Amino acid sequence: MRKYLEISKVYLRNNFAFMGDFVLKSLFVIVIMFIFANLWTVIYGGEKIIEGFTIQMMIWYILMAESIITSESPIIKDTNKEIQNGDVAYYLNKPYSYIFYNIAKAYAHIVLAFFITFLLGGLVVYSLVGGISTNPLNIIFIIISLFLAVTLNMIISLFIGMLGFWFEDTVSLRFIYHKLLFTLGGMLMPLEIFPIWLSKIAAVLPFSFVAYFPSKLFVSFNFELFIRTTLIQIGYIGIFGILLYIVYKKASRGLNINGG
Amino acid sequence: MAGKILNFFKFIWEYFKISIQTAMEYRMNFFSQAGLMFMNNIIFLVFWIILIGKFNTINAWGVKDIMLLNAIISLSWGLCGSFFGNFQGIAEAIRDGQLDFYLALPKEELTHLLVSKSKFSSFGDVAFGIVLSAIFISWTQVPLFILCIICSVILILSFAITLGSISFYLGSSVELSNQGMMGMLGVSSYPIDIFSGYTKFILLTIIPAGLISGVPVNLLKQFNIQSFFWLIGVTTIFLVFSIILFKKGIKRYESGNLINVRM
Amino acid sequence: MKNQGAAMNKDSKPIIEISNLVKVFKQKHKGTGVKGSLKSLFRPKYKEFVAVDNISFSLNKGEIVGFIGPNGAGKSTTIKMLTGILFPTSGSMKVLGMVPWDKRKKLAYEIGSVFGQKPQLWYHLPAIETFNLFSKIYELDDKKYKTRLNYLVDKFELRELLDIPVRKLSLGQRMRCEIVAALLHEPKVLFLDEPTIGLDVVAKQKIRELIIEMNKKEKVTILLTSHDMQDIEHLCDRIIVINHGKVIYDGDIKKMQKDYLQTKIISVKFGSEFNSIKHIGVKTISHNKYSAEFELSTKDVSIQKFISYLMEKYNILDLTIKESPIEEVITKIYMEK
Repeated sequence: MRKYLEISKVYLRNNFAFMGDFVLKSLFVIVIMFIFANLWTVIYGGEKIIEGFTIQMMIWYILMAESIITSESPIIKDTNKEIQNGDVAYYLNKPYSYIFYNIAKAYAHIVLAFFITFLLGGLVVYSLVGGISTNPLNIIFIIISLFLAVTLNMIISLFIGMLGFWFEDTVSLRFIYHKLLFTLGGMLMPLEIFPIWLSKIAAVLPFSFVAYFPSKLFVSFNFELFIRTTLIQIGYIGIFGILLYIVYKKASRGLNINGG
Repeated sequence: MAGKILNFFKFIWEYFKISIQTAMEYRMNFFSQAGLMFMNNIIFLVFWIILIGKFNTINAWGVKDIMLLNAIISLSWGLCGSFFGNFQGIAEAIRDGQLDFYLALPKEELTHLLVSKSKFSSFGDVAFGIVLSAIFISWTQVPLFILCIICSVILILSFAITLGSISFYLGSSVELSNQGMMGMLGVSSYPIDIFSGYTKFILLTIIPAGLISGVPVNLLKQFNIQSFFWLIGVTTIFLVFSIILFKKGIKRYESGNLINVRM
Repeated sequence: MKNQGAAMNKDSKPIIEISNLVKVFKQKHKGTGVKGSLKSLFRPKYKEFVAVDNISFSLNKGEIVGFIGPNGAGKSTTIKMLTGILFPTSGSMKVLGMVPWDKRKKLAYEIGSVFGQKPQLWYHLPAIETFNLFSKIYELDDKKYKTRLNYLVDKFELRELLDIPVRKLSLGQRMRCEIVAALLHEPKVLFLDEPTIGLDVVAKQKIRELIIEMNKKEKVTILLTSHDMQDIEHLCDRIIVINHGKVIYDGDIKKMQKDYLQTKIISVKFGSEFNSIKHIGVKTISHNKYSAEFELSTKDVSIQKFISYLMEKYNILDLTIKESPIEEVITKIYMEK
């Protein structure tokens, strides 16, 4: 495990140059948060609380959801591309450590992207609406939730990529997945704003466990909710992990028969 | 002069025909991309409806206004992508030396650069925009609506040309262009009236996101002669400015002394 | 099958005139690391690179001239200036009486170019679509275009290929389409850059024949850049060698071979086993049990003398005398200058 941590560290250090790119990409979050802060300030008008959210909670919620969803690793995209091209046959012969190495790299990317996004966005949000109070004791639980959210997102992305063995166009599938994250996942607004029937549906789908629940925990921590969320996150990770494995096995069998 | 203008539009039309032919050659791809974009727009519209449904109005913007907003932004952005589909590829063309190809041909290079690509997904935007407009625009509003769309298209293109032309002066602006256009699209997808003060002013001038969608919606709601002239005025200034910036940039390009350009 | 008429064609004015052309590139010199980048922001240092160093030459109507030199020699810079995409630091240039960077658009109607590595055809559509698009770009009269198109399509044997998407064509077929696209508007000057790259021997030969035919018929002046010496040998009467931005040779190909290299390659097939030979002015390049190749320096020994020597020593079955390959000549020129 330590080996993979080291790899992540070295990789990050070597990629200081492309940090510039990262920062530039993250500037977008400044624009988005600026827009949302203005939008919700107008919506709140004089109201103090809407559906249990103060305006500060609302904006910080959106920032957290945004940070989770937009923190991606190019490795996931590249892997998916390789699957499309059939290059992945090359991977099938590599030792597992190679795969884990790539996973370590991917996490490094995501964590870095998350921090930059959250920091930059946070500056904007703080200056526009102020901060929120979080009990420092809860931070560790929130981090666990975030880690699981990011992992779930990664696994679903990989699964979609794997479908590239059968569907020629996974770009569309990824597109749809992202839109579902934005909407049913609760990135545009928390589930509390939805009509009740819709929020009930969204609350059981995996998308809300990537964005809504972890972000809700961040602005309004509740231990019961944390336990429930964590269990279901693990559950979904398990489900998609199994699906991923099945697809992988089927695909590699298919590849071996066809000779790549 | 009239002949030149006619040729200009004929040229754009020729490339558009080729884009349609390419689209038909890749029918599946075309319909899935256009369809997805159409769906995407519907999803966001639904969420606007949920939001407005819950809160009634957002600074005097009601459901109809949001509909108009979406119609205008989809239609203008879509038209840019269908006819001038390379508008977000200017910086890249400069960086990679693709500009040489256009320079060596008899047609005006900026136009040629812009029309030489067409985005399939943009057709979905156009379709969506037309459907919404058909529902929410009354016949009497059509002339004003068309004028606003023309201004929006010009503003979007001018902004893209400006960002792309920075490559001539400060080195590759590919990432800056991408972020800039994304930001522009983002901001202009929301009602201008959620902003106030200095921000609003900037959005009506230097970064004309507010003029692309916000002002047209207000004009269609309640015509205001000052806003109208402001819209026309800023659009014209932006158009002229961006073209001059590009042309001057070409002169620099011809010197061969650009940074980061493969010669 | 060379075009010997063009060299003698004393047409009044040269099609291309280049005089004392110089192009210096000023590149900002970025220091290394963050410190260096910051420094270059405030106190930029410029590095000058002389890409073209005072070259002069002219092309007459109907000539096919090979323009060769190692990578980075200044070829593409010169061609960019010829097409008006780049303007020079000093010197003058006229193509068809026009200054390229001044009258770029006007000149564009009269020149065509084919870049082997940068295709102009739309990849996903049938070639006919690109041809039609080009007819609009060059504002060709409809009737004239149709006639011209038919003529070229027949000449280049593209009739059956017109409606097939370009991506489905073979490389050779694609190249023929590229050349047709460049000829649609009846250009007076044609720039060919690696037109046969990646093609098989048969396709190469076909393309060369077509180029020669078009040149003969329409007197198109052609400037050919190629790393394929066979192209140069087959197509060009005249060759301009450029290196480090300077013209180091400009003249007839045959003369160049005579001037720069006085060697012949003699290939021999023996009836008896070959061991070795020792003769002044002769080097053994390669040998097998029953064959060998020799390099003979004509200033040190006559061919006749060496062949008599060989016949005395060995039983000869077959013997061929060849010119030194052009590559060698060029390399020698590069090395000398």
